[in-house]
Amino acid sequence: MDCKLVEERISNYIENNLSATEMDAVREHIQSCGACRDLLERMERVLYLCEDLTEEVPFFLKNRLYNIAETRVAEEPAISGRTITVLKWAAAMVGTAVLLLNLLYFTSIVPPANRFLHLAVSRIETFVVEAGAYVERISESDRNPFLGLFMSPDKKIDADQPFPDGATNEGGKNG
Amino acid sequence: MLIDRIADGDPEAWNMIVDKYSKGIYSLALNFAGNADDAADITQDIFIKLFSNIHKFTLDGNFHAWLMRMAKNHCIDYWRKNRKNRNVLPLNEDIRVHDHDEEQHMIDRMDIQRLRRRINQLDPELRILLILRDVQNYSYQEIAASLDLPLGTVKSRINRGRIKLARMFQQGGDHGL
Ligand SMILES: [Zn+2]
Repeated sequence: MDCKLVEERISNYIENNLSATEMDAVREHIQSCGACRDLLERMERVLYLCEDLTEEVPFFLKNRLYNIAETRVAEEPAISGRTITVLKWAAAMVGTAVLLLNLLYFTSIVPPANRFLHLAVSRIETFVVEAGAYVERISESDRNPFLGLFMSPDKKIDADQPFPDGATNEGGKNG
Repeated sequence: MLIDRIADGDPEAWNMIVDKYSKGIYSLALNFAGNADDAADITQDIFIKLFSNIHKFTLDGNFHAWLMRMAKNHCIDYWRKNRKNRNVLPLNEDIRVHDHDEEQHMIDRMDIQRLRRRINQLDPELRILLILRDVQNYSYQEIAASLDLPLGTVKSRINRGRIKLARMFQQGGDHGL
């Protein structure tokens, strides 16, 4: 076996991963070749020192790593990226529409359109108020949105009794 | 599942991940970069990346392998960005060594400093493989599977890296003392 072949096998030789005959051949070469013996000794020394190259994480760094979760959670709301994109586009469209409507409304270029806008705005207002009341009912009804949906607005839900009798029947009537 | 809890924003689940993996990542970064300042930056960036990508991890995958791949890629990116101003930072961090008698202890300390500097001179791909195998004691199989490389390639590259490192240790005339 020559030096090149020994070099190719030297890791396997150190790790005892060669067949018995190959182990013998490498050992034999190393005993008679100073260069390969030297390489083997240095490699063993390097591997021995490598064991000491791990270190504990410094205290300040560990704290920074722990803090990643808190800072990032605060930055990002708990909705998916796609939902955020959709919401952003929706908001942009609504914003544009409102700008255009404002333009029509305040310039009063087209009086019928102006009257129509009065009506539309009052409808939107009613809708917003009702939606707000609905959201309030959901949060009161112990996270059961269907219950809140079927309840009449004046009916107060008992917190100890999240599914009051008749709620589903009532839902059937109203829905 | 721990990963789900992190994705849901549970800080305790995140702390468990930090406790479990930070030492390995820091050790990889430290021996890759060769100095403690860069190692801290690299480690922090890897964990930030991990946190913001954790929802992309598929549960049937191997988390450790996934993290290892992410860490490796980040180290290589870091090296690409910083290769122009490399080799200027001194190695001055405290090095803990096994218990030997005092004289041997001193020799080991100095050799460890030199060894880190030599590792830092290896080609970055080779450096990662060598650190994973010889510093962190992963098996060839684990490394090959995690980094998606053929087993034979991993073995021959690590052998090549060890030979280079052994020769560099020699060339510097800095063996023994
Ligand atoms: Zn030889």
